[in-house]
Amino acid sequence: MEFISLDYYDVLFALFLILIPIGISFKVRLGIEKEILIGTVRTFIQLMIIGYILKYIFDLKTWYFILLMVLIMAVVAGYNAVKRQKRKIPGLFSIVTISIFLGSGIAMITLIALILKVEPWYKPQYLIPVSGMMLASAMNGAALAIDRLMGETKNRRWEIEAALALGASPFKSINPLLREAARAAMMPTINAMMIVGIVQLPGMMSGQIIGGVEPVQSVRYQIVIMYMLTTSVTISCISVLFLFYRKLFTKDEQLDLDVL
Amino acid sequence: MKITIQNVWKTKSIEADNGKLRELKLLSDINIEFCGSCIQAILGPSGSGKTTLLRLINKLDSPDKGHILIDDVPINSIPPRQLRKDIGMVFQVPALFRGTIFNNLSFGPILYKKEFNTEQAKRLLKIVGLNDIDLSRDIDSLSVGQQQRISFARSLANEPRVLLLDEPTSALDPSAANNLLDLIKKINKEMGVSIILVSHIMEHAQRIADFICLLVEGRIVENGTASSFFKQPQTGIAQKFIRGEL
Ligand SMILES: Nc1ncnc2c1ncn2[C@@H]1O[C@H](COP(=O)(O)OP(=O)(O)O)[C@@H](O)[C@H]1O
Ligand SMILES: [Mg+2]
Repeated sequence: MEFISLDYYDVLFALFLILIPIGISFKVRLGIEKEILIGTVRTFIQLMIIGYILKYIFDLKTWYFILLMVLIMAVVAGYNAVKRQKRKIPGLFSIVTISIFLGSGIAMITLIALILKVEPWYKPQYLIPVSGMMLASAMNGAALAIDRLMGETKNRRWEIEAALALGASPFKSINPLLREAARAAMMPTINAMMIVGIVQLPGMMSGQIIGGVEPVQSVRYQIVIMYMLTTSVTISCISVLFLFYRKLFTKDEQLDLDVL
Repeated sequence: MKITIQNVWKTKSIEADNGKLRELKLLSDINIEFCGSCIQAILGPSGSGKTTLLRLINKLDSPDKGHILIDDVPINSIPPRQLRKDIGMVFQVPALFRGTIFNNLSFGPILYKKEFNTEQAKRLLKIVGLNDIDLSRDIDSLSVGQQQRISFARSLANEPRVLLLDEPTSALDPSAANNLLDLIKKINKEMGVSIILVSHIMEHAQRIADFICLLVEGRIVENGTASSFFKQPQTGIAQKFIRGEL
């Protein structure tokens, strides 16, 4: 394996180039100089911090610290998914975090233990990037699923109430909307499988190639990752919808209009 | 089924323009008993709380205070699904499920694992005055009036003992409305289904109701037999309503 390493002077040079978008924004009055600047600084700080954390963890080689890191990532993912919701719904955070953990967990165990057969299983070089990818997709899926279910419920409130009024259970009455939400939340990941490699090369694959990995080898990695991402999204969507829909109903099996 | 409503209050907190919560009184101290086998009309101008009251009986909403009894049993001790099977509700908007007419009509029977074939579906359609309509038609291809009748037929398929009808004629032209009203009368007489009919149109109540109550601003201001309601209304508000001035 061979790759070209970067030092801080290289980073500094790239930083100079950021002056171009700032200059353009100023010149044609886009008014987003401040955002570009903040983004530039945040990129630097956030990635530097995560770089050092990763370095620290890679050196640790104790399984519980590495697992703790994955747990923290899951909780942050759960928090991020909930943060997007305008309404505060009690218990939503744990529902989302559990679902994200379930979806990404199953995909991760399959990948690490059954496909890659990493030894030892907690080897951070594999576990951390893989869990990052799986958690992010599970997080997006869960957030999208909840968004969509809330929106559909608002729009199709009468269908739900009509079913309830005929004596249907809450689950039965909201079932078509749950399916709709699951489909909508899974679609981006499925579409990604459709176009992968045609429009763009996935980041992980590009990274491996730059790192000196032979293209066919890195493609195999990417294929496996894509399948696991789809699994992760599907499980977390279904789980979050199944746990969440109850929150839209009162204990008397009424649609809770205050939650919407 | 006898339905008794005792001291029922319902408020709703709504967000005012300044962002503060404001308590809106939807129903105030409602006391009424609906007879077990008749047609009871609830009249009242728009926004008087008719829909709110109807939703309480089907338990789609709960009162803040007071009691609702079904055959003297408090509504809270009846499982919601059992209650809703016996007490059907037809909404002001058609509220159909996506899919075909047959999908909609068979929803209740499938739910209760009862046999339901196209013959039964056609019979229901005939009852609601849709004789030559294809069961496989998508509900999106129907007019609102047709949808409203499908929604009515869908509730009938459940064989309810009480039907709550929220302005079931609102999307129909006058002659179709009268047809539907006569049909409601027939269902009441021949199938023994008690009817609670909500309307803001007096003539509808006059045509078929045995009893009428008048709801204004969340309060019952007049209640009695249909004939006494029109012949000798007790309150000034009722007289005004009958004269069409409310
Ligand atoms: N979700 C709601 N938000 C705000 N106001 C409502 C809501 N539901 C009902 N109301 C108000 O409550 C009152 C009674 O409504 P409703 O029972 O629908 O009247 P009706 O069926 O007699 O026209 C109306 O003034 C209506 O604006
Ligand atoms: Mg109404």
